[in-house]
Amino acid sequence: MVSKFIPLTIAMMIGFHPVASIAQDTSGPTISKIIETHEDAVEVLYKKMRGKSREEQQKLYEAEYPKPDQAIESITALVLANPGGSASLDGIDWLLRYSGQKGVNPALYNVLETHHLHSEKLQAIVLKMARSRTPETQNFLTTVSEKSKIKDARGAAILSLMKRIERDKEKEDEHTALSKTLFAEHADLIINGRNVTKSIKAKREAEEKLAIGKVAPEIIGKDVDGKEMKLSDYRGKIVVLDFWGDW
Amino acid sequence: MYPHERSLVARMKDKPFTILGVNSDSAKRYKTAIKENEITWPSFWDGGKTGGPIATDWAVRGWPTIYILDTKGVIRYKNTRGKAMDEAVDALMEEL
Repeated sequence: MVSKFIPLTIAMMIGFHPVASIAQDTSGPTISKIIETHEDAVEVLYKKMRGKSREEQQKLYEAEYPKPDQAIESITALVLANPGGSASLDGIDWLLRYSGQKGVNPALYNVLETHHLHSEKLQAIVLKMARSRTPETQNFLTTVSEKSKIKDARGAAILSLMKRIERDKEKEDEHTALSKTLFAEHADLIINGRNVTKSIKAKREAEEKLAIGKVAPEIIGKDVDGKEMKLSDYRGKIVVLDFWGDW
Repeated sequence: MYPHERSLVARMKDKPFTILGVNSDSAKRYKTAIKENEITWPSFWDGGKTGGPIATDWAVRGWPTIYILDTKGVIRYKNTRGKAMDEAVDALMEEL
């Protein structure tokens, strides 16, 4: 009696542990299947949370959020087993969404560099690396910014390198050097339909105009009754300029 | 906010000092606010919304945002509030 159940058990094991089948090039459908299963589970939880109070949502989230650890492990193994496969990039893209500051498995950066350095999909990948603080991320982004044949990926890599050190006072010079390259070589870097270089430049110029030590830009406006007034009318006085609202 | 600003204005009475507002309320709300809170200092009226032309020029993203300018119109402090604001104004006054 017992022996009859053994094959079934093995079949189930293979079915539930996709890592077992990495020998063949089945990584494509398997990777997308694991991603789909995880995202579906997340969607189910979000549906449950809808319309609930904040506290209930928090509780549900803590109790039922499907931990991605197993999926991360499986997808990492599948990508490493078939690094040049068509699903390899999609797998890494998903892994980056769940990686945060620690970054993904360091070996995956080699996969990207060896197999996908000139892929059209690389821009989306490098944009997701801005949060990671590891040296592997730093090295990879630098490599992309210098060597990728895809211009949009090079620009995005510079952008991510900049974002990583945005708030680091000690790396201001590095940040300035990167932004110089960005402005000079990627003046038309479009991400999600937006020219990001242009808006970074505009923001930078506005900040420079409003820096401590600069003469305040003139304000010509009206009071609430329509009477004209100018900031320069107050020269000779110390002015506390207060952007306010009664809310 | 208002009580502190009122006391600063009172303390700087007869000195070369002003608070100059850039207000983002609706006209009606602004007029009520100055009456109820005894606001005596002038304000630009920025069109009744937070994304008004002056706030946009000054890249203001949070309210209140405060700049302190010296008598030559040079920006000397940013977002100093409360006691630090008093000290900043006093320091600028001492330069005169």
